Amino acid sequence: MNYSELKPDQIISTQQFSLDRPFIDDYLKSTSESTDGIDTNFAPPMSLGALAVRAAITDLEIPGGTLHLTQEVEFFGPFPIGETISCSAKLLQNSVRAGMRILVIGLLIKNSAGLQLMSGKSTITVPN
Amino acid sequence: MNKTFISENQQLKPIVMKITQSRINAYAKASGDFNPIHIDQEFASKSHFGRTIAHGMLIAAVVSNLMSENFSELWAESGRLKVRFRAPVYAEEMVTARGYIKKVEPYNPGQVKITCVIEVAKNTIESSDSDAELAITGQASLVSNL
Repeated sequence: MNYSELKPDQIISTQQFSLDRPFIDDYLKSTSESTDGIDTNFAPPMSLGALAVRAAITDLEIPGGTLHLTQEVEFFGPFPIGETISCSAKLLQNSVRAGMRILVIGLLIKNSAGLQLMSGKSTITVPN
Repeated sequence: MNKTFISENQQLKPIVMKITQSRINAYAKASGDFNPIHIDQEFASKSHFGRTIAHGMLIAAVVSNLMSENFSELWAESGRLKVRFRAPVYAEEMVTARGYIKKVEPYNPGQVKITCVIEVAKNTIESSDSDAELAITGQASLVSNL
């Protein structure tokens, strides 16, 4: 992919995922993210962040050597397991600084009823 | 955290975790992020890091864990997090997510907004070690009913 051709406000990814038990089990194997005080029928909050970033990096065909600089997330949970969610990513900024291409990506997750579950913003550098 | 005891400058109960290669591999599978810098020893050894590093979002998940442990479901319902990834976390390093309540302020009627300063320190067993290298710094906030 030629990242220099990406324009601000361009939609770079729209994907649907099932917030299913196998995904949550895999996610918890890596993060051990707490569900204390949260009904076990709900997903840990940052698992949605993982899916949002997954959608963006897959559709952007992010190359090896890409680095994550900053991350913002806002949650509007709870997040019932079994829910189908849609993740969209929009390019907010595309610039080159000190020889590094920097992409700022806006993230949005909605449930099947169209309710917003999470929003966020990722800043990454891709090899130029 | 008992709402009665929420006050400014209060320390959060820290989370300590070893970031093993097996955790990193599991995160790659769950997140679909198979960037070789995380999972390919040979690729990583030729990079300027010299060895595999954890996904930034895996370390951010430790922060989310910190907030869930301290604020239960309030974190999922109203949490906001803004972090900067300052240093890589290498496979097999220990991390400590820690923080304190910076501000408690009125929000909507009957609610307060709680803002915390958070950080993830590397390779320290002391939650108060101020000399530790920081992998993440940032701010987290949430809303609680009175």
